[in-house]
Amino acid sequence: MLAQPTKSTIPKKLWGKLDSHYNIVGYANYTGFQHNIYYLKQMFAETKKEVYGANDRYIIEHRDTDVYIDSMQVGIFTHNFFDIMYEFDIPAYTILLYTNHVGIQREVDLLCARSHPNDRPTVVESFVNTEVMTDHYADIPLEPEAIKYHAICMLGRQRSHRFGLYRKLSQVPTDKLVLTIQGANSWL
Amino acid sequence: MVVMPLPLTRINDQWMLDHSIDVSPVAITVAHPLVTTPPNYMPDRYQCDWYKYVALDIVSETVLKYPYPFITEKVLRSFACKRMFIYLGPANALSFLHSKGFKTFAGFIDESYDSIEDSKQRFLKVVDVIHEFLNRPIEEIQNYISTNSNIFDHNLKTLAELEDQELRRICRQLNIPNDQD
Repeated sequence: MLAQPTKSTIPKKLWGKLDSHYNIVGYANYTGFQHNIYYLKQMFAETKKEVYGANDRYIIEHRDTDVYIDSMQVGIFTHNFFDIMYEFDIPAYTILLYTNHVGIQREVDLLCARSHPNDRPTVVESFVNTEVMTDHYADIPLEPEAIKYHAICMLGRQRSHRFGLYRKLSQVPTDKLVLTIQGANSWL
Repeated sequence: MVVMPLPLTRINDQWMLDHSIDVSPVAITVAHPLVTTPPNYMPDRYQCDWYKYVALDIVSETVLKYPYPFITEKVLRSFACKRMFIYLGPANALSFLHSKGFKTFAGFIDESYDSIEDSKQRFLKVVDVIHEFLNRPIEEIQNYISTNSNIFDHNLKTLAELEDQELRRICRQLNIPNDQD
């Protein structure tokens, strides 16, 4: 039994199911190792076993964006994950990747091509996590007569496509479009 | 061999490197009197009272050029707040949301942008669709909302049931017994 780590955003009910079905050996989150691979190396070093059971699993949570460059067929952080997994000689079947990247199986197949067909990670694709879901639904009434503005566009953290959209919409009258943007200096 | 991206960025913005679209950074914070709380203010993150004054949420997702649909609270908020939305993000996100049971507004908004794979062309189409929407009389929009309230109710219900629905699906995939089945 492994208590759900505080950094995990996997829904509690699902974590409970995974915990009761598998022997969870370790946990890592892309947000923890994408810029700090030593976090992942440390996790594998601390949990590495001589022999793994059929039910042993590492839960790897992936809900943040990856970096894709044209010269690579896979995301850089996913590439790094599997590179380190092989470096530590972790059996691929012990990996359960909980990801919001629907279609990432293609990348996993490429990266695990050297593993035996029966020794492959399990990929669970779902965007449901506690970061994006809430059960606090205020009941906002649907009152067409209350609508004063055509649209709202809240451009949060700085991204190139948000700058582009802002430049395209900034001349729209403010009584028609509610347009906001965060002018911080961070690009991340 | 581990690869570290330099410069370290997550924004995948090769789409604008031909410089044909002005994406020059906006240095100052631009506010509007309707929005009274800062971005990502947690109590307001999913629903704000002032949403009732707007018809449509223009959702600008974390990424635009991306190989997969990317769904976050930004678009789910539209379902929670019973608003229409136009989605600026990766291709095929709307069809993915349809596969999860959500309904969108193709009868009123041109949603052909969703299937445009080229990021720049998709961006330009989304901008056109937004301007088209902004040029409609507000009465026409109010009338559409009034006569299609069932779509908004359906989406809120679908969102509320989504976690259990996904739990059932994942348990089936992993052969885990689930008493909800």
